[in-house]
Amino acid sequence: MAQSEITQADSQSPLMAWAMRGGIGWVLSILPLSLTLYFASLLPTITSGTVLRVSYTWIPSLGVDFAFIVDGLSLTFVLLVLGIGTLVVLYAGGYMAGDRQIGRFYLYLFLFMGAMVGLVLADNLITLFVFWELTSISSYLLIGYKHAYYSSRSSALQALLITGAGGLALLAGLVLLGIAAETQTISELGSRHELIVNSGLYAPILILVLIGAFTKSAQFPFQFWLPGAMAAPTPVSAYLHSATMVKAGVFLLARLNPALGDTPAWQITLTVFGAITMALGAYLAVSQTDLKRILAFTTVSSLGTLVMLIGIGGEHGIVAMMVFLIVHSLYKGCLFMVAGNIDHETGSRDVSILSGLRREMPITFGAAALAALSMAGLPPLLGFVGKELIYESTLDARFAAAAVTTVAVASNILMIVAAGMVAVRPFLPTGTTRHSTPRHPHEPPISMWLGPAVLATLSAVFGLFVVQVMQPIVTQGAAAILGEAVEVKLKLLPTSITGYFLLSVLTIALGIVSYLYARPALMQAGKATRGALEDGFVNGFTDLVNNTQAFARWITRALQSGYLRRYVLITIGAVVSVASAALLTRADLSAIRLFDTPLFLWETATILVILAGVALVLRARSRLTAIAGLGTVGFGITLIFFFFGAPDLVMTQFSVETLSVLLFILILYRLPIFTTISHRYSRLRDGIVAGLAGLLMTMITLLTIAGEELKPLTPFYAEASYVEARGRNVVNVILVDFRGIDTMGEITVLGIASLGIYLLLTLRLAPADGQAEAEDSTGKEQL
Amino acid sequence: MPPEIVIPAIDVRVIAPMLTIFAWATVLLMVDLFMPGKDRKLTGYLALAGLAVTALVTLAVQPAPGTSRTSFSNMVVLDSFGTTLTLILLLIAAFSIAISINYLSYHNIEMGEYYPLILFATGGMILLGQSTNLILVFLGVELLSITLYVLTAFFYPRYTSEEAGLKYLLLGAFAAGFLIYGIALIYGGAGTLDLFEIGAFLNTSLAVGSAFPPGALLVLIGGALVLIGFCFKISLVPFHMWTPDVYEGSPTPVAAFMSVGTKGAAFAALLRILIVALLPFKIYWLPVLGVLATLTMLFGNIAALMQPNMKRMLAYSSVGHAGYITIGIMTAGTHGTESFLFYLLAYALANMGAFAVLITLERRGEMAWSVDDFAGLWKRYPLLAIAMATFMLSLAGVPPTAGFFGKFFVFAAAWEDGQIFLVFMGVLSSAIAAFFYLRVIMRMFMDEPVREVIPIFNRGLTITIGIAVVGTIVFGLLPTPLVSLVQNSVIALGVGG
Amino acid sequence: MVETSYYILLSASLFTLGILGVLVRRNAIVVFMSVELMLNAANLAFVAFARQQGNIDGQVLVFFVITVAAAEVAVGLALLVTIFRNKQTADVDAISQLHG
Repeated sequence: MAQSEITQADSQSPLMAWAMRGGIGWVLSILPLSLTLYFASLLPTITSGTVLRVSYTWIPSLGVDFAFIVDGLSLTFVLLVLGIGTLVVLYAGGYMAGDRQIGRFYLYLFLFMGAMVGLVLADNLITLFVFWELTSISSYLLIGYKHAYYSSRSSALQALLITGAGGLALLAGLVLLGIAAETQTISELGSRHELIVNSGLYAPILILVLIGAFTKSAQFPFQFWLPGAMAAPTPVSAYLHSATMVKAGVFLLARLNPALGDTPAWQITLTVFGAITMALGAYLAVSQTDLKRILAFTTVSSLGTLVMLIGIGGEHGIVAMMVFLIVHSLYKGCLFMVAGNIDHETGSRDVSILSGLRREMPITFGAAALAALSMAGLPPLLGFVGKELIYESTLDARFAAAAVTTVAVASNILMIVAAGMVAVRPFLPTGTTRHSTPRHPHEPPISMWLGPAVLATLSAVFGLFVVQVMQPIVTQGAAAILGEAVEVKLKLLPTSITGYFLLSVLTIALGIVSYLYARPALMQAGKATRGALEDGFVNGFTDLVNNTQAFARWITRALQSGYLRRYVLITIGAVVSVASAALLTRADLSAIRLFDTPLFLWETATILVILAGVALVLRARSRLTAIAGLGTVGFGITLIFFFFGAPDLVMTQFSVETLSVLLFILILYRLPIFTTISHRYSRLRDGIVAGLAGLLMTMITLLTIAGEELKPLTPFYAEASYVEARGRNVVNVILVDFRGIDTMGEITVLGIASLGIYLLLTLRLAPADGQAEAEDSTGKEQL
Repeated sequence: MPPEIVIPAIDVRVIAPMLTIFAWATVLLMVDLFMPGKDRKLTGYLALAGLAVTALVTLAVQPAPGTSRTSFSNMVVLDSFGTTLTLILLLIAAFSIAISINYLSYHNIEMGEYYPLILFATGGMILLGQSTNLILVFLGVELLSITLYVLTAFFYPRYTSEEAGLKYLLLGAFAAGFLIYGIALIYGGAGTLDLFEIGAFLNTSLAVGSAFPPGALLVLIGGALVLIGFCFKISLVPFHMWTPDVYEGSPTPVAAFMSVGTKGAAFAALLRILIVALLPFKIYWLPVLGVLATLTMLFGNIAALMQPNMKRMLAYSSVGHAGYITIGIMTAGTHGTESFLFYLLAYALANMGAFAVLITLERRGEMAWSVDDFAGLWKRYPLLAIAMATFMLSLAGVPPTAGFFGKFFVFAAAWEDGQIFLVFMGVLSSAIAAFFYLRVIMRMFMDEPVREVIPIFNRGLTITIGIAVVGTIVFGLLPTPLVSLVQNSVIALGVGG
Repeated sequence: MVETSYYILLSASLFTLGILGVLVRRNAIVVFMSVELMLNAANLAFVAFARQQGNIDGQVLVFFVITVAAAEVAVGLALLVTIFRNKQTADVDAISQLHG
């Protein structure tokens, strides 16, 4: 990091300065190290076939427990997460030395580590999901850590959007799975395999869970976010994007294999998508020039391999998957740190200008070479065992074995080329003149080479002692994935010449030849197709995001115009269209009949008066006409109340009507003459909508009346009603009085109304002082 | 002969919470009138005390589990659902007042009437949650609406506040027209305004023959109009149009109060109407609500997507949340009310908190609530940024926050009800929503500050934000106590018992 | 007397005309009046139904509608006056600063 920052730190305190120089990494790595040792101490128990479970009741009503399980699968993952985590914490101390916000970086890193451990240990679907989301969020914070750069932020967001959306799909899938299996406990799912597959929910569960897993593990067609996430600091890439987080999807598939696996849909989907990802990643890796991007694409390829192996399934597939998982974590974690060292020391990650670093960085070179040999699959490294097992299982695949094997061989050839590009080219002299790098390289501090060295050594040790070290844990891991005990025999070198051994030899030979002679051609091909295969996905995704945003802007502007009348228009339009559709499709319109009782003259007259009043209100160009119109309507209705024998209502309506008219006149007197009827065109449009609304109302009313037994009320009844009305009226009054709450409410309404008038009119007729006016104008300017 | 008058027995306990809050508000209004000086903080504290007293009264009169009490000729009911809702509403009101006390004086709009108005509106909401008669439903709606019209326009002399008030009032009155006309038609069809009796009427009249009886048809159409009226209040698309404008224009604490309180109370009343009175019509209202919920979730979240104004963004987000709550009440007929109440509380905590954070950043005399003001907040005020991030995560429904379980309950209940499409749309719209909530987090944690903004803290804001953060996280980690509370909050489906 | 359906029909037409008024009139006061028209339509329906049903619940509710309408008018008019003093207009189309 920048030299000036270090000196600045030096001036503060010795302890601080030491922490800033990377000492903090040593201290902090104690935590994951001790956890690693703790979990390692469980190895004998687990490898003997025991499964440990812990469960705390969390939400009993939903069957959600805080449940954890330690078996071969979860222990393998925990050891990878914590072990590599220890080295990464240490490494980050050196790599990020001088970064003033390193405390925050470690906070995110430990948050992520905790989430990841919780995820792999979870034995409850909801617990698993909670940790799953935590890894998404913490990884988002880590990817975007160098947030000063635009690329950092945008790729952090891209990763978060894709994994976030995948997470939601996963949640839906897990909830469905819980419903189908009638349990939330993951370790019980295996015994309900039949129930789940036959529940009718299997297809949606499968699709949703696969979306979740594929987005997290960067499977085709979501593979593009992973190279983008390389904007993160290198320790993050080494940790999240090789060894841990991206493997969460693979872990999920492995964990759910007993519940969801063993169906053609599962096998075909995983094998096909895994194989496509594997080939695509490897193909794109060899055309890159940035070290980290090469590694990112090879990671994509490896993840594809893992998914494909789960798809192929069976004992061979699962054992191969377990071994390759460990192989990949070891060498890829190492190579990312190597890339970080090169970047850190030279200031460049461009393989086309890096060369001859072997002399300056011998330890880094040694680690890189070992890791690359494992990646290339050469004996006696663990990678060789992995590759043998992969070929063994592809040859054994239940469908399209030939095609899958061919793709695997081609991908592995390309992986050898990529391994050479990462670990050979930057270190060995290339013959051509050496390009100058931004910084003069030398071996980085011990905290930065220890990690790669340890991982590379482990690749070798695990390979040499494959039976002693690997076999027990792989056996238990495979048993957990398959849901039944298996007997696994691992061996470093084949005892006889088998088909897959020949394939291995062929792969290595072709790989070396390709590295030496075909690299320019591969580079050319990759560049030619980059637009479609590499940028195409990114652009497609960006376009999707941009178009969604543009659509959001457009629809918001279109609907939320701020014009009240348009709001009403849209609302009424929607109601009318939906209601008419319902009416026309459902109702029996022939049931409508006209009236058969003649209207009495005085009632007709009242109705006509009311309608005339309405017309006045609607057409009025002068204030008084409008008020007069409204008054007419009100008083007309008062008259009808009278016909219905409700003199109390007549009184109330009469007084309120009078009051309203007076109020209106008072207010209108202060306001200008309104000639503002809307324009002809818009009036036509509004008229049509309102007319339709009217037609609808009428039809509904007629429909309602149709068939109803309406008792014609005789004039006698009308007369009697007056007598009765009085009696009723007493009850009415009493009821109103005794339904105290009504009255209370009524008084409250009126009270609030008067409060409102008081507040809005009386108090505010004169603004308090000049300050209020000034604020008002500033307020307006802000708009 | 004088007519025989039977005075119904009145059980005062049923209306005790309302009675307390209305009485307190009325007295407070008087007290405020005689209070010397311009400082009105004391009125605010007294209002808070009133809410506390009301809460105590509510707890004192709460019915035994599984029972309910009715009073005033079955017009009001006190069941455990009503009690829980009342307590949530009181909490919301307390938050609103707590964040208002210094806000009003800071923005020179300090008038003592503000607090009694909030109390009156809260009383209206409580009434709405307890009424089993359409008369009282209408009264409750109007009580809270008219109060809120005034509160919306409280930011004098800011013009936008007046515009918001007028828009709210015109559309609110328009909606009231639908509501009351719908009630009229229901009354015409069923001959009663009592929810239980309407339910009984529908059961008998629909059971009679194969043909659709006219009375029931009238109730159906009336029910549709009532639903439209409520859709305005709870701002379901396409009846939501006023929401962003009104929230933006009104004083921020009022917007916070409206976004949670009005919604909660109106949803509760709608819930009662739907499952007490209109349950026989479930085949009709279920698909309608489904369509509305879908539109609401999609549009609310899409519109929030590119909103540069935080206040409007929260408004659109509240529209989106109305969609999720709708799913919650759709399942109430079969799954009780738990998902609705849980969601409401989770949403209330996060939303009140988010508005409170917005208030800390609100400048005197300014109308901008730009997302830019949140940029780089993490560097300068890490605790505030963490609080806001918690609220955004909860609103987005990310674990381990209360919002996650809110969504979880709603979706799980909907799924078990067979509403697969709705769950799908809910998850899809949550994905859209996550984008803009996380964008705020990203601005806070990753960007450099755009301009110098110094947050204003005071006791009310700090306590509100603190409680909201703690509640959001605690209920996210340990939802069990809350789950059992809402599971025991049963709605009264019959009279008495 | 005539049968209830006439009154319901009248009330439905009034209600519709109220909606029409809200839609086509630009003056806020007339929009108000149109809303009042809708409320009055409901009142009419209530009274007619109360007659038909033979109970007075409907008439009781009319009281509330009338008071509520009065309260709404009062608050609304007060608001209009303040807006008018600010903007010198009562045109609802001009009251559209809040949007987007």
